[in-house]
Amino acid sequence: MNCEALHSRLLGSERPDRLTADVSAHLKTCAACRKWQRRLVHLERNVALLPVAPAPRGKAEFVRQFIAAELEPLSPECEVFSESTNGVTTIQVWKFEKLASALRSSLRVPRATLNAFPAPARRRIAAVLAASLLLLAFGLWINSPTSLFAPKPPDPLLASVVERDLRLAAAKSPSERVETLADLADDLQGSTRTLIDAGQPDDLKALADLYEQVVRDGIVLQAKSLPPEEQARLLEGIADRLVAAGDEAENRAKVLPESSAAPLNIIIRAARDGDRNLRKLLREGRS
Amino acid sequence: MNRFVFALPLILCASLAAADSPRRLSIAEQAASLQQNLGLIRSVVGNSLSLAREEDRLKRADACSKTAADLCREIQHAADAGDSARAAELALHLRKLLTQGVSSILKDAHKDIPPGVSDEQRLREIQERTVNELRSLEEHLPASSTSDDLDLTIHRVREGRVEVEKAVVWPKNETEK
Repeated sequence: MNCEALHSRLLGSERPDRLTADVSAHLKTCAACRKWQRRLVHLERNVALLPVAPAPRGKAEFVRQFIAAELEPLSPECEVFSESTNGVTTIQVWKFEKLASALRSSLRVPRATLNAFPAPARRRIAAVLAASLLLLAFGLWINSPTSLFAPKPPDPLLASVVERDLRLAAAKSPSERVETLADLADDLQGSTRTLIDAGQPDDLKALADLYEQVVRDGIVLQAKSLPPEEQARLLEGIADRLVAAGDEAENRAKVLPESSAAPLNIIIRAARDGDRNLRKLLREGRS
Repeated sequence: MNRFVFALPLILCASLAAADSPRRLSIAEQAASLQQNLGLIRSVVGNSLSLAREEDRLKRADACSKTAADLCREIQHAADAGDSARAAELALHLRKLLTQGVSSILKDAHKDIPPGVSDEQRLREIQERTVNELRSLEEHLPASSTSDDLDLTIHRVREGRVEVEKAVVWPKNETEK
């Protein structure tokens, strides 16, 4: 063993005063290393005597409460080993034993592997691992859709309106058309209500006008071409949806100034007219 | 140091969770999008009402083709303004409209129209007008090497145009007329 290897070995050891045979053999022949080892042992002993800052008040209070806490009665099947500490407090030792054994079993193998490396090398490995994890986390965040650098997602209203349009292009029956128009109307009134606080008044009015157009020139007009049995199957549900849309718009409009509520008033009017017309068709179909 | 090291797996888990949840437009962003897209939304809703109302396949194809032309104009504006992300988004809608709307209606219409009648000529005009519109857009879009989104836009427009061209293939002598 040379001097450098001996220094590494002693630095990595938890007890530099306990010498192995090869270390002892080297120390017998090397005066410089003997002196170095004595200084290290001296240092280790004095480190333990350094004053420790008092615990924060919260932590000290927690420890005091923990020790002073009353014990819960134990179930008979629990094996209890109790021991007295400072003559006053009793601690449920079995709980600590169980925890300690679990910790020991989980740490035993890594600890053995880790001890094969000297302490400075362990610190370097830990630092490299920490840096790699941070880098990985940062990379994931940068590439995630929630990141500030992520591209802006598509406009949900436009995407949904295009989807409805394509469904109408492929629709084979009048009932399919009426159902799709009802979905389109829901998209338009939903967006108007969502954006009522943030959108431009003219844009919101235009959206509400489109809703009115879809209900009046789309749903109601197409509903007339449905056979009576299809009217009975579909129109009740669509009329209920119109009522719900009208009610929701009305509730929202109540808490807004009159000028801001104008688009919602268009929706309320269109929904109620649509509902009335659909129910009239239903009555006519039944009679 | 130990606390820091123990916090790292938590940071990693949080990053994984964040990476898994898609970003949505905020209300303010949606309001801005509405302002930008209102013209298109009007056009698409108008087309939807026509599609709901019309039984005539040629009129349905014509309505879809006009909406496609509106989308082409918006894509050109977005590309000219350097907003290639918006151009790519709109090109996606255009491709869907061309493949699932214009192209499929043209195919169905062609099956129903007997050869030589005036409707066949109208069908051909709608197809040619749409293809010309798309070719013009492809030619006027900026050079593709400038951005990935622009590449995507050109690719989507081209795919849509090819679908419309394939919808009805006219005999060669008729095409040359």
